[in-house]
Amino acid sequence: MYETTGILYGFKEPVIRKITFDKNEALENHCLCYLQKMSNKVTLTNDAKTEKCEIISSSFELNQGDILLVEPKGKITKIYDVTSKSNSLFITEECNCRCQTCPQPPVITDSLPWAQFAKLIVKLIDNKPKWIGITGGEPTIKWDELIEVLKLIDYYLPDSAIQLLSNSRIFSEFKKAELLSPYCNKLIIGTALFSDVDEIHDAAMGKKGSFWETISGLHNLERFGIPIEIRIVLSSISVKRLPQLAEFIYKNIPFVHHVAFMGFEPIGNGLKNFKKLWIDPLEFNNILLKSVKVLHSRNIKSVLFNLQPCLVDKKLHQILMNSISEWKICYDDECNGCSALNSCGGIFNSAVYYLNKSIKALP
Amino acid sequence: MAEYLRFSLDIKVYSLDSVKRAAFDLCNDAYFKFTSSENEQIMIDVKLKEGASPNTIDNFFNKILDHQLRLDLASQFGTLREIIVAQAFAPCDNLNELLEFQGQRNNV
Amino acid sequence: MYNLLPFQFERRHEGVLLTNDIGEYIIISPDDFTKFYLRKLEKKEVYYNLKSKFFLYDQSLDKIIDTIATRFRSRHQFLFERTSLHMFVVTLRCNQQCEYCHASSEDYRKAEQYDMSNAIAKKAVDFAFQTPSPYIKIEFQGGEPLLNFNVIKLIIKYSTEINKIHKKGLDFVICTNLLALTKEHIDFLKKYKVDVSTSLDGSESQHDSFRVDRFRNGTFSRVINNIKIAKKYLDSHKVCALLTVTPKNINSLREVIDLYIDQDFNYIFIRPLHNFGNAYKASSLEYSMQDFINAYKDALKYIIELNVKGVTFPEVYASILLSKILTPFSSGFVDLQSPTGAGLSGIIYDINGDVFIADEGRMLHRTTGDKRFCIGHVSETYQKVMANPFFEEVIRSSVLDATPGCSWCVYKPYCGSNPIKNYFFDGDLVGCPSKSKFCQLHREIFDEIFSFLLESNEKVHDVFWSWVTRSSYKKIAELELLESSEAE
Repeated sequence: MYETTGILYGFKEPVIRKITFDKNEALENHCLCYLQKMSNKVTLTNDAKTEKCEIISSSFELNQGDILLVEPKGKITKIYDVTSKSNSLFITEECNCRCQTCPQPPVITDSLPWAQFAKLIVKLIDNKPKWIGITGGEPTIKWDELIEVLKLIDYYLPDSAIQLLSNSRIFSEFKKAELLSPYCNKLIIGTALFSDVDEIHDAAMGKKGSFWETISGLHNLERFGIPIEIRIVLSSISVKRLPQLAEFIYKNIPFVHHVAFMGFEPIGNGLKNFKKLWIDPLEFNNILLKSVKVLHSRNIKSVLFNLQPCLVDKKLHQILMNSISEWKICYDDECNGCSALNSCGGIFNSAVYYLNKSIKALP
Repeated sequence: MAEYLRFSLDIKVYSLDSVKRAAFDLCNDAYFKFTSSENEQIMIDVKLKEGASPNTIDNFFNKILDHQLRLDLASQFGTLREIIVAQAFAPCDNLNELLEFQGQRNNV
Repeated sequence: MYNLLPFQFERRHEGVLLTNDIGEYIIISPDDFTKFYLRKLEKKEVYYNLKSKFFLYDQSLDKIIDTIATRFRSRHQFLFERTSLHMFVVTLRCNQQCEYCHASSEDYRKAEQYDMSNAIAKKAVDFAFQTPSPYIKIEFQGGEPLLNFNVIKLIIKYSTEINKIHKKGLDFVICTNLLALTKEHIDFLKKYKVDVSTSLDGSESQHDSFRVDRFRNGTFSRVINNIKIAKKYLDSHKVCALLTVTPKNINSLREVIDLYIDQDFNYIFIRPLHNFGNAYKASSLEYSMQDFINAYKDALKYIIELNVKGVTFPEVYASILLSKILTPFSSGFVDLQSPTGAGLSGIIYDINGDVFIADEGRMLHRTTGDKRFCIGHVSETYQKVMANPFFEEVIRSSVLDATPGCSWCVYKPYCGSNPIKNYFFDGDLVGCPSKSKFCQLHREIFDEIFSFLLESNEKVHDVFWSWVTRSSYKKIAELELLESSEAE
């Protein structure tokens, strides 16, 4: 559970607050200390006692070091979860594309000062995460803030590796790619491709010309030794020419660190375009296997995300990863008694309805 | 032994360059001799060499057609090959000019 | 509405094969081909395939020109890296007198005036290290290199020492008949991780028909024995063998391949006879190029069958061609490049320090006295030698795009030129592909390889990819995927 509501006192505007049980640490700004727990109610307060927060929900776990976004209207979001291996810094809701598969609704301007929040969060993190993500919208739109966030991570979290999700269009400008070169040993950029054909990719991205800008950006990133992950969302668009896309990646961006095939999450724009995009994993099983083989025989690693072992060929189970965001998981009734229950990442709760005909417990 | 086969080709239909290139491709299999004649015809004398495939003459005509196609394509490609090689070795200062020129060529 | 990007084409029984300068190939039906070049092809799968392989474009050209140029540059990386293969002829003396010897070697019992001196060797190493290439491979040739092992030791030690400053990748390989192999040699080769390349022409009778010692005795049993010893003390994969096809083995290549596998070799390199040196004169060594092509095709078929059964055993020449066809990378094969690899990628230092752009050039000098392919001497500056005007003429004459016959050939992106061979046989650096045996050989091998590729037999493709990526057939065919530990 990452979101809940609470009764708030003294919060005038949306703020970032770190949870601590350490009264000494609570003396610092931006901290909320655990005051008391009475039956179902958890009360948090800051040191000066000017802010108080009562959370009713029992399933909203709080741990030392968790970081919350507290909005005065009562919404409390866990924006950094110490129990998670995959936290991300949200830089902006704004984007320079309109992907048909986008899980977030498009905006013109940020509703909250996300980049500012991100900078603060970096300073508050204390559990030395192995990985920290940077996402959006399109993070590179807020270029100066992004560079600042990178510098802060480099300083405050020197042992953390960074995964930046970006369409890489901005890196078609050579100098922008150059500015990332100091981080080449700890940064990987995740960029989505929908097709080997420019017009098909552009249509899926909702932006004409984005394909060649992305390719050009990826080439520039390679010139500075910055590792790249290609992300392919498995929709009816990308599946149609999937092996050709795998071959295109090999021929034109052979230096990629790996390719991530991702199950489709039908929320946001993705849900709006559902009819056009949805394809049952059982239907694309063979073509996915073929495409992984195309890459494998050319020495390029693949991984699979957001897919379930029962829907994917056995040979691909060894590269099937658990869901990238633990808070999206749920399991169908069918899953009880499945032998793969422990290794399966579960199903997006947005997708469980569409998959329930195909989900089958493995013997 | 094989004798010279003689036939004429209409230069309005088959360009001289394509005929010469086809002959060049087959110069290991046959001897070729060209003479110009009236009515925009050229006379071709062909003598197969020993051991040459009996299909050589048919191949020759097919090659003429394909070479004609290649020459037509080459005029469409213009200087694109050179632009690509130049750009590959050192970015061209006048790239946009060159591309625009190529673009005009294609729209003709 | 779309426009065409430059390409070459050839009609085959499978359809029309198209290739382009960035190395892509595609086969389409004759109907689609006609529509395609008339710019009337409708948007269907073939259209998209042609677009994604850069045979046509329908957005503005400036968006894609950089990607195309980058692809072209990647394929021609060897031009930027320059000379990486440096061959040292350490002696002309040899303890064998193989009938087909292209090196025209001297009797080893004669005086040591046929050896490279320490002084020349040192100068040659200094010269070699002036290459801009980040990687140097030093190859010892002869005669029989082991007969002048002292100079080899000097070269290896000296180059290892000065490389501490240059920090280039540095490898060594010795081309030897292994006859004179001693423990001292093995210890030294092991210490400096030197690769060993030897010759094995088949069974005892096949091998000994041509590869005899100075007393005209066969060398097979001694060579086999020394191969075993070398493989035992050095890493087995560091000892490899080359096959020279002769009239004695041309009709039984399958058995030769079996023998190679028996002797624990990891691959085979099937080469036709060099028509230089002794080989040029002896007609008992003759077989037609067509005979070689037929034998090669059969051998390749057999090798592919063995690989499908699980024996990972590449044929090296086919692997090189496949790398050029299937990968977007520059292949480091000096003998098949455009412009020529001679001097640009590989260079050879004679015993007296003369610098030749290729071994064939050195052989031409020894057999005819014509020294034009010598571009200088190791005592001269690198810049002066490399700026030799005849060298430039050779380079200009060896660009396939400017060669009639080659410029329109569908295999142009994958082929290369050999101006020295052209000069030797035709008196002309450019040569005439239609008459050239070199061209005939490559055309037929490319035809054969493309027949395999266009057949879409998954097993054969798996074999080819296992060769190109140097992994095992099993790993690819059975999809042995490794886990990515960096992924979340």
